[in-house]
Amino acid sequence: MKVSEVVAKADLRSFNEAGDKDIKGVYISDMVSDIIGIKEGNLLVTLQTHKNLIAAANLVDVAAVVFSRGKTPAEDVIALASKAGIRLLGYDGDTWTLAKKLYESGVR
Amino acid sequence: MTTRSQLANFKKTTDFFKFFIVKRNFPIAFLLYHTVPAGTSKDRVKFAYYECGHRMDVRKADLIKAKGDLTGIYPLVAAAAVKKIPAAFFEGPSLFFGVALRSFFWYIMRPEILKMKTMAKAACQHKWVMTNIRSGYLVIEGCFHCRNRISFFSDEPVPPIDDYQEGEHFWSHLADYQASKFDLKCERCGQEVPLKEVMATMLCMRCNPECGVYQAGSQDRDRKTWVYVALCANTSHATGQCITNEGLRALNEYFNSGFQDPAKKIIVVPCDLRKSVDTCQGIVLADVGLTEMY
Repeated sequence: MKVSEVVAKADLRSFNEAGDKDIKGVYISDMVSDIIGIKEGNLLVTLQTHKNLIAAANLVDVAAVVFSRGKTPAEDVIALASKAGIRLLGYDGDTWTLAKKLYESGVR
Repeated sequence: MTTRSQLANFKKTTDFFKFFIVKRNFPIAFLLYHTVPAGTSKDRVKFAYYECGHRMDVRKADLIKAKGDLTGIYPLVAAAAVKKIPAAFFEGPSLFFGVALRSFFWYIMRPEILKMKTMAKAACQHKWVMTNIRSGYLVIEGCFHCRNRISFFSDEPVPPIDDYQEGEHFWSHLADYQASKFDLKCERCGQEVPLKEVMATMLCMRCNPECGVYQAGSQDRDRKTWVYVALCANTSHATGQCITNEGLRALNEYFNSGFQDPAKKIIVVPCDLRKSVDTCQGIVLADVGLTEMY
């Protein structure tokens, strides 16, 4: 499933228009040290909007990053993600509700 | 002594299998039909998969892999030869003599066997995975005497913050970040690369054109290149040591596998390329502000 499909099905907000990668899974974490070990192609769900999260997401080649609970990244974070080709998305609800919505949208 | 020969694909299976036969003069069809997968000769038959089938000449990657697979046969041949020596030879009143003889045999053969294993691993197109993952803290300490900074990984539940003296150094706690350490292991050949000197990684933000890290990322301008720095424990590099070449090679291979964008490239460089620790604006991949693991 492509990122654009998930955006439409799960009704996500988009902070940039960088890339439309294939999603191979979902990973939920708020810690950079935890993200470093994940496989490529994951849709990363997180609360952390720090720039080092984008650095880690780029290293492990995530498909996109979704910020839950209405978190909004700063302009420099969006710029770094756009440069790295990482789509940044937002969701107003909590992470659990987002996870259920992603599952119901067909993301596996 | 058994021999090995590399033979063409067996027509009754797919075009992608190649079989290695350790005993000679056995027709392939007979051996495969009667002894594979079960049978007494099962440990003498090794299967290998090649995407090009038997046409090694059209795909270099498979040529390299085949070489590794062939050389990997030699330790098996040596082990099989040892097994053939009757066990009784090593038992009874001549036990000491038998043990001495066996030890002498391994003393003679071991370097060759190790050399063959090394050659097999060198020919392997590694597929690295993380192993020995452990969570802990990246602890930064500074010496007010020499103004040097060091970092180390602590896997204790609470990071150490005590000041202490070590020779001429007076180390004080500066910061700690939740971090994780890992080693790399090849799924194909089993080779492990310990990364004990790697404390953290850092994304280069290309702040200084005179910096060696910046220049490392400027060489391949046709690709979307990102330079990450593998940080070692001692920023002064007083001992002259940094990340090992083996570790850097493995890290580069690991982080460059599986990109959806073929133009993307990650370059991992050692931290001794950095021009200045104090003015570096790189982004360290560590959890800033978290002080408790539980």
